[in-house]
Amino acid sequence: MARPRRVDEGELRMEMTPMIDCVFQLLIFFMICTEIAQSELEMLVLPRASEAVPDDPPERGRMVLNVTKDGRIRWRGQDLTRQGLHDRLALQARLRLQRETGLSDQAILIRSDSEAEYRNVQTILQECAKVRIWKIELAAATAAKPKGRE
Amino acid sequence: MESRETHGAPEPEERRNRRKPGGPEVAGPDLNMTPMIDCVFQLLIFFMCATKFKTLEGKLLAYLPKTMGPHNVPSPEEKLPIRVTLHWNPHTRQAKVYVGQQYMGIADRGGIAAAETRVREIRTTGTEKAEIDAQPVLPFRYVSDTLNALIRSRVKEISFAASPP
Repeated sequence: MARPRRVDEGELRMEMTPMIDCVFQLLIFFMICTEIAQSELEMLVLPRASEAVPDDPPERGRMVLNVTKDGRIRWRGQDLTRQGLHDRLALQARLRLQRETGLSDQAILIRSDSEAEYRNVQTILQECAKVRIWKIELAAATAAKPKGRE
Repeated sequence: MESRETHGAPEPEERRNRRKPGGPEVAGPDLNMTPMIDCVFQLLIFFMCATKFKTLEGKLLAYLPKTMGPHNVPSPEEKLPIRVTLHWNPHTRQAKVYVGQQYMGIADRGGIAAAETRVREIRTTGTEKAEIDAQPVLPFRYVSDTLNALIRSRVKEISFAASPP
């Protein structure tokens, strides 16, 4: 059995463990917060779709456009106007333009809130068509397939 | 009288750390819980984050036609696409579903499922294209549900009707 340790009266001991713990916790907290803030994915309620295919792996260089419930089109945390959307899409389209076909291989993922008006998605589709972007994906929450169907 | 310690019974912490009358303070062999709690919290945070990232979203492919303008006009021998129309009534907040001119029902009450069945029937005649014509004010989920139903009914080409500017 270990012999009890004597504690000298008047000795001031500084416990470093809780301080290091707090520091690590804060570090993790800020790392996660930064990650979320820079994320391209807005907090949206996506529509459910049984036929949705897993987005794994996502296409490299894909542009993610979010449509919020109140109808704003957002890209990397910024609101885009129609003109801004057109300019951004035109720029992205030029980067992956296929000279033979005149089409752009730039992929676009539209993440629209399920309650957002369709006009916003329609605007994106129209702007994509104008700049010859054809690879459009609509984000959906995966749902279990209904029973009795193929 | 024999003490409890001689029986090997666990000694309560209060008793161990109790200051003996007149003697110096004695620190007993205590179990430091801090590292364990830290590990637990670290694991908790890790799993919370991992669960969030693991929840993958799905996607519905909605590739736009690669042809535009005059090239997109169907030839006379080409069959017209199956047109699925979604009409939104803002007063009742209900979406009506039509396949061609035929009314299928309210979207939330089996209208989309009925449209899917009808599209499957039409497909047997050889039409492999479908077009979704939705009102701009329609909530997006109805468009998504219709697209999902058309994919399920194995339509090969699905397009979206453009509304007039």
